[in-house]
Amino acid sequence: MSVSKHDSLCEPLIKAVPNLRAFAISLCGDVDRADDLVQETLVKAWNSLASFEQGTNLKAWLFTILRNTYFSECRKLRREVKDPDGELAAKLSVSPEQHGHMDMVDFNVALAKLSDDQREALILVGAEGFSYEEVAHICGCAVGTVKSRVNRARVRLAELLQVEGPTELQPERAREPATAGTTR
Amino acid sequence: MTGEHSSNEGPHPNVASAPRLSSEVRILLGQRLRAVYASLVREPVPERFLELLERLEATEKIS
Repeated sequence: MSVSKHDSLCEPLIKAVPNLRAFAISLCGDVDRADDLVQETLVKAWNSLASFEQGTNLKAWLFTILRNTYFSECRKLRREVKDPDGELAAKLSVSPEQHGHMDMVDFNVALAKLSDDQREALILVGAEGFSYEEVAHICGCAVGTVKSRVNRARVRLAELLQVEGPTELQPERAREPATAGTTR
Repeated sequence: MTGEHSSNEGPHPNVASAPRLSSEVRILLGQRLRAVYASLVREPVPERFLELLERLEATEKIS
């Protein structure tokens, strides 16, 4: 019984790998570290398949494992080395050989300048297409918090990319922190 | 997580208190985000993951 369960989940696990990698790279900005995260996620998922409820969202479950692994590693790392501001941005701006397009490089740099929380929420909602409710579940926070993070992530991105255009309120205030880069 | 930065928020830290972008800008940002992300998703999957799952499956069958 349990063997056939594993058989039926091996293929969905493989299918999820490209998205898990993309999410991991977006989170940590480092392909090697991202691959380690994906590997750890797959092993953890495999070992705790018993706790996965068949018929629920496997992808959301895997994303939850990956981000929890990443953030608990981050907490450990932060105690050892203080990550200098903008280091992630620098990594992302030099590494993406697959992005010949200048726009994409700019966008990656801006994306890397978001706080971890905001970047994570924006990617899960805006790129992965999870619902706010699913993201709240994945990140272990309230739906309102997810909405707020996504909104602030968009506002910050618009500032950084200087595409803010006409905002409905406070256009001056929205522009002002774009050069500061100290919000982390 | 501990990421609630309250510095830019008004008295009511909810969605309504944050500045809102025009729908054009939101659409533009969404398109760029998906394009950047799609290029990551399209990258070939390293062999190590296929090998890893094969190994995990193999040990499962032995036990």
